[in-house]
Formats: sequence, structure tokens, C-alpha cells
Amino acid sequence: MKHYQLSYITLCLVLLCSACATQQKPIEPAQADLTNLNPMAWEKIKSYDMPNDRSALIAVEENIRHANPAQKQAMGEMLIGVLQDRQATHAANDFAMRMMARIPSEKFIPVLEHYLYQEDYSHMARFALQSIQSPQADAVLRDALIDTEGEILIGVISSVAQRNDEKAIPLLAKIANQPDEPTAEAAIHALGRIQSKLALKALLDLHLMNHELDKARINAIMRQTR
Amino acid sequence: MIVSKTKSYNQQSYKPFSRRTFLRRTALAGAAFSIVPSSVLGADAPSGKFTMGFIGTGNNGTNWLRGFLRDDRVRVLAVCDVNKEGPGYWDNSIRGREPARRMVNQAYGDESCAAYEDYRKLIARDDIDGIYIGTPDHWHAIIAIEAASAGKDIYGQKPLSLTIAEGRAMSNAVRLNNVVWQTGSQQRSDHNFRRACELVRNGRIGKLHTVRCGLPGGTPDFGKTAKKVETEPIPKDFNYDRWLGPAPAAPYCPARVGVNFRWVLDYSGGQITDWGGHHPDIAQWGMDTEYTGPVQIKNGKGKFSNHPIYNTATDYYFECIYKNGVTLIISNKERGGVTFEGSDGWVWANRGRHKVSSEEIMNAKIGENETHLYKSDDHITNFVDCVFSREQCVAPIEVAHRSISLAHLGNIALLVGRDLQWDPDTEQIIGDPTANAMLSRAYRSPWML
Repeated sequence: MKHYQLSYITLCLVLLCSACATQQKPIEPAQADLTNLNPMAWEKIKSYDMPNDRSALIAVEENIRHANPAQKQAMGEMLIGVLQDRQATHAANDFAMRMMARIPSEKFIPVLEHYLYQEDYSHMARFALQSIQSPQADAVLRDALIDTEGEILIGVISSVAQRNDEKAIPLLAKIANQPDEPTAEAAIHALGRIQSKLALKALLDLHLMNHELDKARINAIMRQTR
Repeated sequence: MIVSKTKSYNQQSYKPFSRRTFLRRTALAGAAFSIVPSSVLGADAPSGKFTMGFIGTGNNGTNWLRGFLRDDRVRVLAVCDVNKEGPGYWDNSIRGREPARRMVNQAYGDESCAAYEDYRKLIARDDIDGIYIGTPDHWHAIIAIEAASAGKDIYGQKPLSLTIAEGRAMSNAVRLNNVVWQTGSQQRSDHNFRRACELVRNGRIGKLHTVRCGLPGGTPDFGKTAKKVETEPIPKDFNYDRWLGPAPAAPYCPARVGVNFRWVLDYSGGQITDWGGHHPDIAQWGMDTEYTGPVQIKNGKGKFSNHPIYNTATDYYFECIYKNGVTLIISNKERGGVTFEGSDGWVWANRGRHKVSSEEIMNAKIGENETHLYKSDDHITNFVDCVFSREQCVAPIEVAHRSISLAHLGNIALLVGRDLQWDPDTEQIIGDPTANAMLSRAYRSPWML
């Protein structure tokens, strides 16, 4: 039995148990209406492509919106299943990563790490990773600072800065000194964004011959000292 | 008389720099009071004019360009748009950088206006004092921060930002670089709204308890392109990749761009943010909460578009609860405009008119020692006035950031389907890391916040 089929059955069982357990409770506006669950929608998302009918995506999003913790866990497994399915479309993978950001989990990190290194998916992998408040997610991004280059690396630098990861400062300082100007500038910019005395020191210690990069360094220092 | 108008710029000692460099460096030095000659402020500059560049010449950009061309103190030197010339704007009209350039050249009777595709080239020009930002929302932050860092004064369109993190970064950059900022929340220059807020702030409706903001709903097809959802070849002379900028990659179709961008959450926040810089901004003005915000977002209910491309909320309701007990309701089901309800009456305002619950309130005079709000009768004039005086505009950036934060929080509450606890001091969503992570978004490379 395929992984996503097992997860689908698990989801249905969880939802059925939840429905039984909540029969006597008054329905509050924010709770899920389990009778509106559309299990077929979850199946359909793998084949979704733009600009087709988004009903299945909307149904899944609604499920996620009103899911309780147990349901979210099962739904997370389904989303991993989408990303692991080689037949899933690009649009389906994009959607799965967006939904992962709504129910972030450390369980998503391994599959997101795989997509982080792919040019067509790196951005949306970061979109999901940025929602996961976990040292593991930080570690994956720091590894990518070493193992990627070009626009993927600049994207990773951007995410590291937005997460305010102080542990990345030494790596960013090293990248700021490497010869590719856009990448160096991105690292300098990131050092200006991570609010930290270490980052300020790293900026002050940079010795840059390139005038434009030095301007960027001054701007970054200004951001640190506001 | 209490005037709610902050003077934000100290006068500095004269040094023979260009105006922008002078203002930027003295701000950094934190110099104290001294005299600034008018030659530094541009009034006696070689042309005596405030020179501008317009970035984003679609709908709003073109409309407001007309207004700026009528101010004799302004000289527009350049325009910029990633679209050279094409349809898909209001009522499928044709806009872009070339129509904008022609408009400027016609106004001045020459061919002096430059047209750029890359906003960085415009910002790099030392002879341009200020810029207008009229791009889609997802581009506001990057351009604003770069322009502020270059010492340009800025007229930035609403909604200020795409996320709360962006708004904070923008406000910080403007403050750090000591540039003048006006938000395109032109209702602040409408005396009806000012009058309504003065009545509230001076207790004429008694103790304020509820504010209702009625905003539009749906995803109207302003650009007449909503049906054009099939992927098409990118039009020649439209830099679509640059148009997407920091937003996620997506195949090109006419429905996605032009004026209808506002119905796609990757670029905007739908009607909630499109109008968030207007009526909720006025609400905060009347509530005297311009530099803070609510502590809770409650009872959110929303329905989202099922269009193949558009995904913003079409019907919505949410409450912003303030520490002082006031409830601000934002919904497309409320009466259009802003209604302030107090213990002794109510006042309602919309563009060009206002109504009150009694003749006594209608005829109420605001005394000399009471609160008189910032008086601006024209939003463009106010901005240009402040460029020369270095005073704060009627719609400064921190106020705009706080206003649009209501809209962003509302959208987050609807998307996650639960109430939010908000700390307006730390600007964090409390006890909900998932929702808190939505205060910012990953940028597509090579763009960075």
C-alpha cells in the first residue's frame, strides 16, 4: 500500500473518531464542519495544474484551516506524500509547500531540504521552512549556505536573515568576502538585518576594495546601529 | 490649542553638500538645532524645484502623475515601469512607462523625461530628489527601502506593504534616513474625515465603544482581464520576471497582472488591504491609536475567491479589540465608510460627506484648547509643502504601517481560521508561532528585504 493511501485511511479514521467524539459538543464558529470534508479533494491536488478549477485546493485549505492537532498531523503526512509522489505536478508541489506553512512541522524538514536544492522549487521550500520554528530548520539553511551557489544561495541568505539566525553570521561573513558580487552583497545585506553585536562586528571587520560593496556595508552598519 | 502634528526634523548647521546628502548625514550625526538655509532645502536650487521620478506608472501611477504635474514646485524628470506599454489597467486601458513619459513631455512641452525599466537606475540619479511608488504592493518595500537609503523623499502608495515585517522595515528605513514620507491615504486630506475624527477625539459622541469600517467585497474585474487565465506568451517589452520580483514564480496570464493583481495573495491582500489604507486608517485616527494597535483579532469569518487565479477574501468580517475596550469591526457587510459609535451618539464619514446622530453634534465647535487634527486640504500639496519645510506629512509612514497592520492581521486570522492575540509594542502574535511566521514571507531570489 502506498504511503499516501495509508495516510488517507489514517486521516479518515481520525476524522471519523473526532466526529463521534464531538457529536455532543456545541459547534463554535471556528471549528471544522467535518461533514463537509471532501476526501477526494486530497486525491485531486496531486494532479492540479494552473489555471484549472481550484475547488479541490480550496477544500483542502478549508480542511487545514479548521483541523485539530490530530487532524493536522494526518494532513501533514498527506502533504509529504504529495511532495514524494513523482507524478505530482509542479503546481501541486507548490500548493503542498504553501499548506505546510499553515501547519508547520519538523517532519517536513527532510523533504523540504530535498527541494531546497532544486532551482524550480527552492523558493517555495524556503516559504515552508521559514514557518518552521526549529533549530533543525536553521541548520538545514546553514548547510545550504555552504552547499549552494548563485541565486539559490542568495535565496538561502535571504531566509537566514529573515530568521535572524546568529549562528549563520560566521558563514555570512565568509560569503561577503567571496568574489561573486551579487552574492557578496546579499551576505552583507543579511549581516545588516540580523540584529546582533556579532553581525555588527563582522561588518566592521570586513575589508572590501569594491566601492559598491563597501557602500552596502555602510548601509548594513547603519541598519545595525539604528 | 493642541495640535496633533509632530515636527520630526531638527534644523542643522549649514554645510555645502547636496540637499539629500546634507539631510542624511546630519540625521546620522544626530546634530542639534541650527539654521538651514533655503538653498539647501531646494527652494533656491538651480531650478528651484523638487525633482521627482515615478516608479510604477500603471493605474495609480498615471493618475497621480497628472496631479503632480500640476504643482509648479515639482519637476518630473523620469518614469519607470517594467511594462513599456500595454492593456490590462483600469477598464482595460493602456498604461506603462511610455504613455507616462508622453504625458510628462506633453505637460512640459519638451522631450526631457527619461523612461526606465529598472527602478535602480532611476534611484541612482543624483538629480532626482524624490520618488513616487505606484507599483503593486509586493514591490513597495524593496523600492521604498532603497529609495530611503539613497536619501529620496517618497510618496508611497497604499497599502503600505505586503506583510507586517515589510512595513516595519520600511518605517525604520525612512526614520533612519530622515526622509519625508507621504502615504497615498488621501482620505486624510478630506475635511469630512478630519471633522469626524475631531468630533470623536473631543468627546462629542461621548465615550467611544465601537468603530465600523465598511469596505468593498469581491474581486471586481477592474482590468477586464479576469477571464484571461490561460498561460500566454509574455508580451514583448513587458519584463514579467521583474514584475514578479520577490513574489513566487507563476506562469504569465493577463488575469494575473495589470490592475487585477490585487486579487492574488502573492502580490496583495485583496479588498482588505486595498482599502485597509483608507477606512481603517481613518478609524485609527479617530480612535487616537495611530501609533499602536489592537490586542486581539477576533471572530474572523471569511470566504475566499474560487477563481482559477484569484484567491483573496471576497466576503469577510473580523474584530480588532483594543486595550481601551473599543471594538473596531472591519467587514464588507458594514455600511461603506467609517462609523464611530459612542455613548452619546455616532458620526459616519465617507469620501466627500459625513453624517452625525444629532444636530448638536453636527453644530459642535472644537474649542481652541481642544484637539485639532493635522489640516491638509490636498494630499499632493501637503507632500510637496513638507518636502520644502521638512515637516511630517499628514499620513506618515509609521501611522500607515500601524493602519495596514490591522488588515494584515485580519487576513492572517482568516487564513488560519482562529483568533489572534497581538502585542502592538513588540509587534508579535502571541502564543501562535504559525500565525506569527506569517508576519513575513520568503522572497524569491535574488530579491531581499
